[in-house]
Amino acid sequence: MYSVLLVEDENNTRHRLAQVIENHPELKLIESDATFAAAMACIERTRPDVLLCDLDLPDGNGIDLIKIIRERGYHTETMVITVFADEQHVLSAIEAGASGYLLKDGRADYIAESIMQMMDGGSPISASIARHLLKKFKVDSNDAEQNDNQHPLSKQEVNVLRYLSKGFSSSDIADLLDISTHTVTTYIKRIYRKLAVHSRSQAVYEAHKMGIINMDN
Amino acid sequence: MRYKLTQLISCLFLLATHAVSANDLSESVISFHQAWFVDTQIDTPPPVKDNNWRQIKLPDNWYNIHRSDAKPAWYRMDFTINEVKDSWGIYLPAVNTNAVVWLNSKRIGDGGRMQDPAARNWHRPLYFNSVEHHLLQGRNSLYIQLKPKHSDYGFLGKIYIGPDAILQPVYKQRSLIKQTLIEISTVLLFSFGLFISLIWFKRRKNTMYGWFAAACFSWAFVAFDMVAQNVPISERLWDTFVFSSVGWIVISIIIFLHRFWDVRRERFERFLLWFGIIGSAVLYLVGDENFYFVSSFVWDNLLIIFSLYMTWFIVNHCVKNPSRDAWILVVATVVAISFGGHDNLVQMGMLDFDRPHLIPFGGILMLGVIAWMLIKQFTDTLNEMEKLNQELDVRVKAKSQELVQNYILIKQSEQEKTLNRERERIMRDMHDGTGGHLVSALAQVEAGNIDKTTLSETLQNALDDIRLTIDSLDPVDEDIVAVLAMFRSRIEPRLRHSGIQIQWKVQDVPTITGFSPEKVLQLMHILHETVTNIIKHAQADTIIFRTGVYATTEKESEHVFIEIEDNGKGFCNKQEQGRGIENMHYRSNAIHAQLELFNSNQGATVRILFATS
Repeated sequence: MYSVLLVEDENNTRHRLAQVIENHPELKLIESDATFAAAMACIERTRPDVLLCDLDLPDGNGIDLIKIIRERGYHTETMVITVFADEQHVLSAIEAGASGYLLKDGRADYIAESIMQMMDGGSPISASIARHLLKKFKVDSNDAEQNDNQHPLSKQEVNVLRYLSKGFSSSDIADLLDISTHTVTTYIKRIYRKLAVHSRSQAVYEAHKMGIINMDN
Repeated sequence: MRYKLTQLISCLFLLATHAVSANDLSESVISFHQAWFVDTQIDTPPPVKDNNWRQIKLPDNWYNIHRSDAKPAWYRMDFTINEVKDSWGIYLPAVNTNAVVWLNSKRIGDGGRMQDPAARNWHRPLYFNSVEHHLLQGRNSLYIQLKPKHSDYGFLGKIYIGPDAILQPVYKQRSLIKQTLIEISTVLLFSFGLFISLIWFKRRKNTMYGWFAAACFSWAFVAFDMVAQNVPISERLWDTFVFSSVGWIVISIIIFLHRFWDVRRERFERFLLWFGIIGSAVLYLVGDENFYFVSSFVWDNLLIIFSLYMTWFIVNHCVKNPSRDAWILVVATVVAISFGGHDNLVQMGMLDFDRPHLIPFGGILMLGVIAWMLIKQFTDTLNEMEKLNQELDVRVKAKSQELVQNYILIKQSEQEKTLNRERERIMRDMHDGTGGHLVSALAQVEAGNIDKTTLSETLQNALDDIRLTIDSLDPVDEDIVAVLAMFRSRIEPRLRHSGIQIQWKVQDVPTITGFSPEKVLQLMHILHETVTNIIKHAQADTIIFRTGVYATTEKESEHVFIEIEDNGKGFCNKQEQGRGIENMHYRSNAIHAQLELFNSNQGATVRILFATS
């Protein structure tokens, strides 16, 4: 059973999601909060397995919650709750360290399945997110060969992203690449982790270039 | 400034004409103011007892003798000396054109070649030093054989014999003025001409430089005539060139001044040129016996008239456009003309022939002032150009900034227009889609007829519409497959919930040129309508999505297609087609796509065709 902390400031949506979690046999809702402060206090006190978090909170930003969890090394998997799953919000969350995203209006089975998939090592992704990830990692989506050994993504990871961007499902990709569906979702999670690292590294590099930080020490 | 310049020039004039007179020499110098003359062509001094000797005064000008040829004649001067202590010399300040000196029965020396073409010493003093060995205590005779330039163009000035220590400095001083300074003037005038002609070579269209160079070269040649001792051509031909050159000096300067001050007198200039050409021809063709009359009395005097015009032209310009440089030029011109007039009077025998010619100094003065004016004009032009360039720089910078500002404004305006267009498009779509659904939901709630399923579906449709709109704003780089992929992400949960599987037989296809976000949205609405119809009515369990390319047989053009095929019961009721399919056709037309529907009881296929270009 996985402990879940839910953070959502809209009451009806929060209650609905809380009910979905409570109704699942493998999920336990430890708290549902409407503010950043309450969520932070709960995280420090309980160290939940899963954080389901809205990004726009009245007293803070969900991205900051995700960053704090990563910086403090808590073993909490985070998932952002979004209405439109647009790439701006999703990629910001993944760069901060989130493992996936959920649509707020998703059906109960979809929500529970997504959380379980994440705890199982996978991560949800859309074709649009995949296409933007290819751009982020500066990969030509139509170039079949990616020979750069210095590239952060492996050749297989790039292939997965390319197929995803063209609308193929994880199972379709598994058939095409002759691997398991679980492996495909694991690749996605790995890609998300690399995005977070890439973003952090890029931020450090830019800060060093601008003289904000000194790498020589 | 003008006054000081005039004073300086006057001093030079006086110095040149009188400074080297030997009149004030000491008593130990013997000067000869008269002599015995015999017109005989023997090469040794004629005997004293020759009855043809006659007494004449010195200086002796042959101008009025009217001899028929240019053969030499003899002068004899007798004198007595008691004692000779130092080194003695014989000084001839002026001869025309050459002389041989004999002292007693000894040939002392000569000024060069006596046969035609004889050495030209008409502007060169002669000196013979260390003659004391040939002097006798008591009576002595000094003989001068004079070679004239022309039959009636000979001259012998006063003659002096005395200590070298006294006479030689006088000779050197005269030589300085009559030779050295003239040589320097020649070089300077030639250098002016060369320099200006190089400038003219680079700017041929600016003919004033050419005329100024011509004046400099002509004046240099006239000056050179005074120092050239031996010439490679006949004396007559040489003099023709010299007199022509004097004319071309005047002509060149007049035309130069016209150009310099931008005055158009083309007919007069043509007349001047013809005058120069014809005059030069006349000088060449006229007989030897009349040459010096024509050249000195006719030609030179005609040139005085043009010189007066030149002076009037300069003065007139100065009065209308007064400036310091222009007035300096007036003074220089007057001086130069005065010098020329002086030389002309000397040529005509109205002034002593032993006077130095001053025309080269006039050339240096006048052409020097003009050269200064040219340089000043050149530097003024450069300065003006620099100033204009700076102003241009400032204006260009200002204009560039203005252009940048305008560009920013235009860009902002275009961005605003683009944003407005997008806003209108989104507003239009939301009005038609989302707005409609929400109003419908509101109406249901207010009416009290709250059917949960219908209300849920209405609100879900509203959300779907918003998501489609958001997806359409995501740049897809005209890639149809990316649009289809985005659509699958949106629709798959609903299909899964309806128990419909997706077969994804999608391959890469060429991009569609000009596939804007508006067209993306329309396509997504068509796809959404198609899939919604399948979910609601087709009773299918599988949907196949296909993409590909084929060429039409009619027009041989390439088309990209999207196919959505289901395995349901097909459209068996026309009423089910309703407004949905009508809407799909409308949207297809809006995006210049062709919509094809294939229907059977084993399923239906919707094909959307796009031309690639």
